Amino acid sequence: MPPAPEGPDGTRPGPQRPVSPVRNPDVQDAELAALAQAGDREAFGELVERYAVQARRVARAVLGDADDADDAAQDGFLAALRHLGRYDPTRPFGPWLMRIVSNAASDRRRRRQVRRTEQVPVGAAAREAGPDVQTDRAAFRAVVQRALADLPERQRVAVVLFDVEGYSHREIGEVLNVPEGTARSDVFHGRRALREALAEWKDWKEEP
Amino acid sequence: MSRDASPFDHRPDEELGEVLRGALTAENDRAFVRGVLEAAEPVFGGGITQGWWFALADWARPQVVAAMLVAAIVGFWFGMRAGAASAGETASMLDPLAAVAEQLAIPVLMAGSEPPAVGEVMSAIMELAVRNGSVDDARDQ
Repeated sequence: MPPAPEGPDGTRPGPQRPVSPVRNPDVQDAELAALAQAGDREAFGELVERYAVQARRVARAVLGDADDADDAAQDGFLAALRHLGRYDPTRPFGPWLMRIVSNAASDRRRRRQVRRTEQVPVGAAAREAGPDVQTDRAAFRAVVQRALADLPERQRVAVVLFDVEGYSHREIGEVLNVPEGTARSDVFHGRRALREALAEWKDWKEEP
Repeated sequence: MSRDASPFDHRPDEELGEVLRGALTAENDRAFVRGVLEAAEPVFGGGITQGWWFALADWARPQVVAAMLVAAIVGFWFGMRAGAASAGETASMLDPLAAVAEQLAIPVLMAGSEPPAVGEVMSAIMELAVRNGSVDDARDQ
C-alpha cells in the first residue's frame, strides 16, 4: 500500500489526526469566508493558502518589487478580513479579494512614488540580451519584468489575471472596477505590447 | 505568444501565461501565509467587525433609503387624501354660500339689460338688509 501523500507542511497525516473540515478542497470559499468572519482562524488560513500565490502575483504585477508586493498582498488579506461582512457570498471570492489586493498594491505604489520619484531602471539585460547573445534565465526574466513595467498598471494586471490566473473579462472588470469592454481592451493592448517586447525571445525556451 | 493578437480572443495564451507566471511567482508561500496569519491575529483578537459605527453605517444605508421611500409613499398617500378631503370640504362649504347667493340675487338688479347703477345696487342691498334685520342688529350693537 503506497504511503499517504505528503501534506503541505511535509508531514504525512496519520489516521489519528482527522483532516479539518476547512482543509477540505470541496469547502467553498464563501463558507470559509463566513467562518472566518465568525472568527475562525483556520478558515481564514485556508483562504490565505488558496489565494496566496495569486495575490502575490497580482501585487507584484502592480508594484514590480517582490518585497513591496508581499507587503501589499498581506495588507490586502488583512483588509479583506476586516471587510468580510461586505463580501457577497453569491459571487466568486477571487475577484473580490483580488480587487482589494490590487487596490492595496496601487495605494502602496502611490505612496512609494511620493516617497521617491525614481524610475524603474532600464535593465541592462534588455539592451544586451537577445537570441544570439547570452540567453540565460535571468536575462529573460529581466526582459519580461521590463516589458511588464512599461505597461500601464491596469493593462499589466488585466493580462496577468487573464493569461496567468484564468479570469474572464467580466471578472477582470470587477477587479479593476472598469466595464467588461474596457477590461477586454486592456487585455488586448497589454498582450500585444508584451508580445512585441518579447518577440526577440520567441524561440528561446526557459528550461525548467 | 504564438497566436495572433485579437481583441476577440477569449482563450488565455498559455505560452505568455507561462512566461508571466515565471516572472511573477514568488517563492516561499508557506512563510508568506504564516506572516499573514500572524499579522491577522490582532484583527481576530479585536473582533472582526471594525466597530459598531461601521456595522451601523452598513445597516443604516439601505434602511435609510427604505425609510425615505416609505415616507415618500406615506406622504404622497396623505397628500392625496388631504386633497380629496379639502375638495369635499370646499364643496360642502360652497353649498350654503350658493344658497345665500340665491337669496341675494335681487330680481330688480337682474331684470334690466344694462348693468345696474351703483345707487340701485346699494339701495337693493340696504333694502335686503333691513328685511333680514341685520341693519337693526348692527344699530343695536
